[in-house]
Amino acid sequence: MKNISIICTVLLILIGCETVIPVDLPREDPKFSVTFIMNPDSTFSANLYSSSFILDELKYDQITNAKITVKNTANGEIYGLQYSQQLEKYISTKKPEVGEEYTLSIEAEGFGTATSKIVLPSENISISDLVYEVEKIENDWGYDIEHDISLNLKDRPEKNYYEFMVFSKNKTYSNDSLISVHTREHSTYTDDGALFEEYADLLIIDDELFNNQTKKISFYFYPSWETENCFRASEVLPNCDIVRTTILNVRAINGEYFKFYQTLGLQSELYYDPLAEPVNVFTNIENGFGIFAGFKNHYFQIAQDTLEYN
Amino acid sequence: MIKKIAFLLIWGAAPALVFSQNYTISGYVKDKTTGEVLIGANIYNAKKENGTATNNYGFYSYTTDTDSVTLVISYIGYAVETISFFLTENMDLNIELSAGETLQEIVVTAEERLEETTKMSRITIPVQQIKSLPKFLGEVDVLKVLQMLPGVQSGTEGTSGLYVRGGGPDQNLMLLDGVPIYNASHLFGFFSVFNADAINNVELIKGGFPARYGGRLSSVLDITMKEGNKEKIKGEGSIGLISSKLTLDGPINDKTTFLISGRRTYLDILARPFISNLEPDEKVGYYFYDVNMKINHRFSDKNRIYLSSYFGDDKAYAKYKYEDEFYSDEGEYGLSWGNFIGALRWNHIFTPKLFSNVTLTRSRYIFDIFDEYKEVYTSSRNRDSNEYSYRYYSQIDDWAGKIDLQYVPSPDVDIKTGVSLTSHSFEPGVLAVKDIDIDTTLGSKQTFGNEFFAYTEADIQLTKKLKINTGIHFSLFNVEKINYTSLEPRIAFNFKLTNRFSLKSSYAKMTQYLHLLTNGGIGLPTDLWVPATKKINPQESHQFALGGAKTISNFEITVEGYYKTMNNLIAYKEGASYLQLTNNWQDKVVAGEGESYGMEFFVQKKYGKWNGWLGYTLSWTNRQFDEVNFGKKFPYKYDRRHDINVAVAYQPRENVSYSMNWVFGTGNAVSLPISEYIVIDPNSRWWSTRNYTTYVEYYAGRNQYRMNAYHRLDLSASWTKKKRWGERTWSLGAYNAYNHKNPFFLMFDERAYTNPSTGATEYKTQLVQYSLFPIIPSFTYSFKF
Repeated sequence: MKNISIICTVLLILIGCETVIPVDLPREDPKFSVTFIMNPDSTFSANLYSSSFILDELKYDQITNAKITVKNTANGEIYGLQYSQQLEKYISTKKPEVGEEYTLSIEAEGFGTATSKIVLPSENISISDLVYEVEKIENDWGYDIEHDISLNLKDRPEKNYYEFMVFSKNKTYSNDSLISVHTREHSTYTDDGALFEEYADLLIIDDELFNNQTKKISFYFYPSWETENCFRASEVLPNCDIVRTTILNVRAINGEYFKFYQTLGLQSELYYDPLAEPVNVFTNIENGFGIFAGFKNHYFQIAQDTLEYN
Repeated sequence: MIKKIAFLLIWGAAPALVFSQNYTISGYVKDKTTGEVLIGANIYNAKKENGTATNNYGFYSYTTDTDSVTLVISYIGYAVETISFFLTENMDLNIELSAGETLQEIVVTAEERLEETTKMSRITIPVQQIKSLPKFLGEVDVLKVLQMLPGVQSGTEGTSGLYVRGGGPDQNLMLLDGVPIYNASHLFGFFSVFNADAINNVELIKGGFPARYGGRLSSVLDITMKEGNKEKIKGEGSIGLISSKLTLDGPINDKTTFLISGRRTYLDILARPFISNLEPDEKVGYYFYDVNMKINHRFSDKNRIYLSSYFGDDKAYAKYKYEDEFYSDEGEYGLSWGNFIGALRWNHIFTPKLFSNVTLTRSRYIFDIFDEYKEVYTSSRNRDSNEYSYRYYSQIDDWAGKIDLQYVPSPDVDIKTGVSLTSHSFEPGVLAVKDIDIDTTLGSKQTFGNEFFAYTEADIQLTKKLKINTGIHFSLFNVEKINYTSLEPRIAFNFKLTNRFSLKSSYAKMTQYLHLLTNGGIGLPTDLWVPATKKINPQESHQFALGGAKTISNFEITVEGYYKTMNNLIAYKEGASYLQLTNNWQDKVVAGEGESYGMEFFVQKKYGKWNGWLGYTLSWTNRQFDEVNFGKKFPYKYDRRHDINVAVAYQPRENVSYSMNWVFGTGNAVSLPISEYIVIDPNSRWWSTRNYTTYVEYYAGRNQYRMNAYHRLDLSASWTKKKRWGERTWSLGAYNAYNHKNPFFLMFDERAYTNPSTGATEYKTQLVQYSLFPIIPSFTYSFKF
C-alpha cells in the first residue's frame, strides 16, 4: 500500500547503517525434511531432502539412499518405499486405507531415524444446497467470467478440517471422436478470510468457528476451455467440441495437513517483513522436518457444458 | 475471608481516630512567583512530629489537637517555610514557597520523605530536571526521560513507548490533567505528545496502585499541566532542529489565569530538498503540531474551576497533479492521526477536612489512512470526470464524568473515595470507499461500551512504625449487552525499621477493559484500540512488590522486587494484520498470559549543583499464547535482563549547565532461524512430472536469540544569558555521542566476503544488523520573557 510505503520511506531516511555481525548460533546437524501426504486413492509417495544449518549453503539434493517404511498399526503390515530416479521421489505400489493409523520411519546414514504417526481421515462429508453460478464481473480491463460456488457444509462434533478444490475434466472431440482427455485443477479464491487459510491457491479451513453446525461456504474460480486441445500442429481439428465436466473436490484433511500448510503460508507471507514476528512451520516429524499427513477425497459434479470450437 | 475481616477492622478503627481531633488547618501550597500549585508538598508539625502532604490539586488538610503549632512546609527545590502560631479554631492557610537557588544545597529539602509514606513503585521527576537532560533532536521528551527509570523499558530505538514491568504499551494509563490519552506519540513514536513547557508535575506509578486508579494493568502516568502564573503575562519558547514552540501564560484578572502552548515541526520543509526524485507537481511531507490550553478561575477560596484542553495531529502525505490539454488528474494520499482531550474541573472545599473534585472529560483518538483521486477527460464534444476516495480509519471516543472526595479527619487518616463513568465509542478499522458506482463501508462496526468504577481508599498510620494504604476498586464494563465486573483489592504497607529506613510491600489487582491490537509491537499509529467483548475477555493482572526505602542526605534510595502475572492478553494470530479488512478484528486475535518478575534499584538526587539518578533493573518477562509458538512459553520481545540508566546534570554556575545520559540494556529478544530445509510446495499439483519445492526456515523458538546489547551516551550543554527582554539559552547536544551501532533489526543475507585462503571475493549467508541512529548532533535556541 502506498501509505505504508510512506512509513517505510521515513524510516529508511532515518536508518543509519548496516553491519555484518558475527552470530553465535548453535550449529544444527542436518535432519530429514520429508513431504509425505497420502490418500486412499493414491499409492504411497514421499519426497526426502536434507536440512542445512542457516549459515551453510542450502543443498537442493535429495536423499536417495534412505530406508522409508510405513507400518499399518492395526494389521502390523509394513510397506517399504523405493526411490524412483524418474519421479525423483520414493514410491510404493500400495495404497493406504481410510481410518487406519500409520507409522512412518525413515533411516539413513548420518541422519539417525525420523518417525511420525497419523491416522488417515475416514470422515464422510455432508454438503447441501450446492449452487454453481457464472457471473460476469466488469473491471478496469474489461470483464472476467467468475464461477461462483456456494454450499452448506454440515460439520460434526469433533475437530474437523477441510480443503476445497475444483477441477475440470475436458474431453476434446473431433468429428465426434474422442481426441484427448485433460484434467485441470483450478485456482480457487475466497473473500472470506476469517474462515479460510489461503496458500498457493489451497483453500483450507478448520471448524473452529462453526463446530457441529452447518456453515455456508463460498468461493470462486476462473476456468478456461483449454481450446489449445483443438489444435494439432497449428492446425485446427475439424468440428472440434470440448465437453467440460466441472467437479468439486471436498477433502477431509487431518489436523497436521492443515497446520502445515497454514504455517507454511504464513511464513512465506511474512518473509520480507523484517519487523514482523516470524512463524515457525508446523512439523510432526520426530527428529526431522516436514509433514506426514493425509486426506480423503469426496467428489461432487457441479456442471457439464460444451463448447463448439468450430 | 481474612481479607474481609482485616478490611472491617481497619475501617472500624477509623472513627475512633476521627473523633479525637480538634482544629483543622487547610489550604493550598503554591509557588510564590508563579502561583502554580505544588503537588506533594510536605506540611509537617514539628511539635507533634506528624503532618500531611498536598494532593494533586495542591490542597492540604491538617487536623491537630494542640494549640501551639509550628508548621514546616517544604517542597523539593524550594526554600523551607516555617510558620508558628496559636491554633484556636479551624484555619484557612494558603502557603507560598519561594523557588530555592538550586546552587545552594541548603535550601533543597525533600517532599514527604520516602520512609514516611506508603507510596512505593512510584517516581516523580521535577520538570526542571527533565528539561535539563540531553534531548533527542533537541526536543524535550517526557516519555524518553521516563524510559530511563528502573522497571521501564523503551521499545524500538528512538520511540517513546513505555513497557513497564513487563507490560505492553497499551497497559499504561497516561493521564494529562486527569484525562486519558490513547496515543501519546508524534512522528511514528519518535516523540511524545507531552510538551514539557506546559507541564507542572510528572508522576509514574509502576505498582502498589492506590484504589483511585484503575483501567490499566501496568502503570499510571499522571501528568499535570501548569495553570498559568498570577503575576504577569510571561512567555517561553524554543527553536530547534525539527520543531519550534511557544508558551504564554499569565493572569487575565486577579482571579483568572491562563496558559497556552503550541508546537509545530517543520520536517516537511527541511526534508523537501532531500526528496529529489519528485515531479514538479508532486509534494511529499510530514508534520505534527500540538496545542495545550488551560484556564483557571477562582470563584472564592472554596471554589475554583479549570478548563484544560490538548489537541494535536500528525500528518504524512503525498500530493500530485497532472494536467494537459485533454486530461488532468490530481490526488492526495497519506495518513494522519491525532488526539483531542478536554477537561472541565471543579474543586470545592466543603469543610476544611473535606475536599471534592468534579471532572467532565472527553478524549478522542483517531487515525486515518486516505487516498483521494480525481481525473477529468476533456474532448471537443464533452467532458467526463471520475472521482475516487478510499479511507481507512479507526477511532476511540470517550466522554466521562468523575467525582472524587478527600476526607482528612486527622493526620493519621486520609480517606479518598469517588465514582466515575466513561462512555466509550470504538470504531476499530473502518474502510470507506467512494467511486463512480460504489459508496460503501466495510470492516469492524462501531461498538459502544460503558465503564463505571467506584473506589474507596484510606492512608492510615496504624502505629508509630506501621502505615498502610488500603482500598478497594470496583469496576463494571458493559458492552454488547454483557457486563464484566471486577473487585480489585489494593493494599500497601510501610514499616519503619529505623528513623531513616523503611520496609514496604504492596499488592494490587488491576483490570483493563481495553485492548490494543498492535503489529510487531513497535507502536505505530495504526494500532487499534478495541474493547473487551463477548469473545475477548478483559485483561487482568496481579502484582506483588516488596522493597526498602532510605534517604541519605539528598539521595533517595529504593530497592524493590516485584512479581506480576497478566491474563487475557491479546495478540494478532501468527500472520494476521490490521490490513485484513474483511475479517472482524476478533477473528484475528489470540488470547494468552504473561508474567514478569525482577528487582529494581534506584538512587535519585532531584536538586542541587549535581543532580540525576542511577537506575538498575534485573528482570524476566515471558508470554504464553496457545496458538503462538506452538503453545510454548517464550520471552517477551522487550524482555531485558539487565537495564542500567545513568542521568547526571551539573550546573557549575547559574548560566551554564551540562548533562549526560548513559543507557545500557540487554539486547531485545528476537527470533532467528537456525536451519533451512525444503518441502514440496502444493503448487506441485500443477506439474505432474516435477517436484516443485519451497524453502522453509526453522526457528528454535520465538524470541530465543538476543540482539547485541544496546548502549548509548547522550551529551548536552546549555548557556543562558540575561537579556533586556528576558533571557535566552543556547543548547547543544549529541545523541549517541560515541556513535555506537545499536541493533534495530537483524536479517540473514548473502554478503560478499574475502576468502582467507584464496583471497577471492565470495558470497555467503551472513547475519546483518541494521542500525537506526548514528551520532545525531542537535541545537536549540530557547528564550523566556
